[in-house]
Parts: sequence; structure tokens; C-alpha cells
Amino acid sequence: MTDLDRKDQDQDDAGLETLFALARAPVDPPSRELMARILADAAAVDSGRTQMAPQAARGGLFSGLMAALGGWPALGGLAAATVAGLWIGIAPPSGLTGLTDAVWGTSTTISVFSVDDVLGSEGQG
Amino acid sequence: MDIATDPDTLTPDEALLVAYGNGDRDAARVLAERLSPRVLGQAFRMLGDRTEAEDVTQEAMLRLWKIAADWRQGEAQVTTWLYRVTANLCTDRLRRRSRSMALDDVAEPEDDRPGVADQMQHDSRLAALHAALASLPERQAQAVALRHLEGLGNPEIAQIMDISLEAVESLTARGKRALTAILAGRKAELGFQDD
Repeated sequence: MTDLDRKDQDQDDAGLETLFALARAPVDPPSRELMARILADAAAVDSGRTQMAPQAARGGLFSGLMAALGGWPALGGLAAATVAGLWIGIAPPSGLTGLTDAVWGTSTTISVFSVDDVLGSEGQG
Repeated sequence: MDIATDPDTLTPDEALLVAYGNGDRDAARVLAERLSPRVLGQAFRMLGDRTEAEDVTQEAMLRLWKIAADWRQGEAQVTTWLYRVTANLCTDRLRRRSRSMALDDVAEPEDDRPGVADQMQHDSRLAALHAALASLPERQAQAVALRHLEGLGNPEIAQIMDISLEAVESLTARGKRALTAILAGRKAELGFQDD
């Protein structure tokens, strides 16, 4: 580094230090209005905490079960699936009957005994 | 004795924060009175704008209130945590500012009356510094501000930024070089050639 370069560098450093010194000037303290905003936030956060705490402690068996299932949205889906399953069992759509026949085959009732034989009515009369 | 009415002002920040986390709002008042001026000063020195600095102060303190109940005692000092949060909030704002304002947009002195000209040059110099800080990479701006605006030592800066001492030295050195380069073309305009 030449003497000229060093002089430039020193000038730059001094200029930057002057800027830093300007920026380090004392800052006026917070206004009352700002302090009021800050304390209002503190009160709001504290209120939020105290309101949430009893809710967490109030949980019983039902709320525990609800939480395990995933809450009301999950329970709604479960109820819808149950009703749909029940309805399909009672009145299966025609398309579904065709499908179950294809998979399981058509059911046929075979009578090994004659009802009359079992009841002993054969030959009477 | 209620911790907030304790005349002993040496009650540690952490004890006050834990007390507030347990519902003692008077502890929050003591903390706010103790810490807000420091946060506001840091934000104003970094941003150079009172309104923005006040918004940052409110946001930093709000984050402190929110973390109070989960504060892990002994892990960090409250002031260190606040320096970090404030520095992050300020660099966020500087970054947004640098997107919307070019360095050359900084107002230059126009009124040549004695006194007024000095004030305008003072304002112009500060505006130039803040605009230059805004154009630095975030970590460099934070390290330079903590070192040269807050006057903190490198070990404390290392704690605040959660980096090594060597990284602090590197960031501040690179940051200062970058600031010098950015401001080089404005030396005459900012009155440094007469200094």
C-alpha cells in the first residue's frame, strides 16, 4: 500500500467513524404513548394465557376422546361414514349388487331337508 | 414482597420475566421501563427513524411477553435475547427499505443558511449511513451496528448473533469495507473531504 493509498484509507476510516459517532448520539426515552402500547400488549398476552389455562384443565373423558379422534371435524367425517355404511347395508345400489355378485358369486339357498320331513308331516293326511 | 414493588432495582431481568410469566403484571411494567429505552435506542440508531424504531420496540417487547411463560432460565440473558430480536427486526426493515429506495434517493442539503446547512448535512450524513447499512448483507449490517453503533464487544456480539468470535471479526471487517466502498462516491457531498 502506497502512502497515498494509506492516506485515502485513513480518510475513509475517519469518515466512517464520524458517521458512526453521529448515529451513536443519545436517543430520547420512550414516550408515554409507546409505554402504554407496550404495557397494553403485556396485559393482553397475560390475559390470553390466563384464559387458555382453565380450558386446558377442564378436559374430561368426552373431550379426551374427542381430542384423540381429532376433534369435531374428524367426528363429523366419522358420523357421515357410519351413516353411509348403514345405508349401503340396508339398500345396496344396483351397481354394488352386481359387483358383489361378481366377487363373491351369486348366493343360492340349498335345502337339504324338506321342511315337512323335519316337522314330521310326511305321509299324513 | 411483590417483586415489582421491590425497591431493589437489581432484581434480575430474568426473575422479573418469570414473575410476569406467572401473571405478575407489575413485573412487566418494571421490565418495560428498564428495557424499552435500550431497545428503542438500538432500533433508532440502526434505522434512523423514530416511528419505525418505536414500532420495532413494541414488536420486540411483544415477543418478550409472549415467550415469558416458556422462558428457559439460565440459557440466555434477557438483554442478549432482546438485542438479537431487535437486530433481526431492524434488518428486516432495512431490507424492505433498500428495495424501495436507492442510495441516491437520500435527500441532499438544499438550504445554505448557517445552522440549517449544518443540520441538513448532519441529517444527510445519517441518512447516507442508514441507506448504506440497508444495502449490506443482513449479518454484516447486524455485526457492524452492534459493534459500532451499540459499542458492544466482540464476545457479546458473538453471543447475540450465536456465532464465533472469528465470524464476528470477519463480518465487521467486511461490513466496514463495504460501507466505505458504498459511501466512497459521496465523500465530497457529505463533507468529508474538508474534515
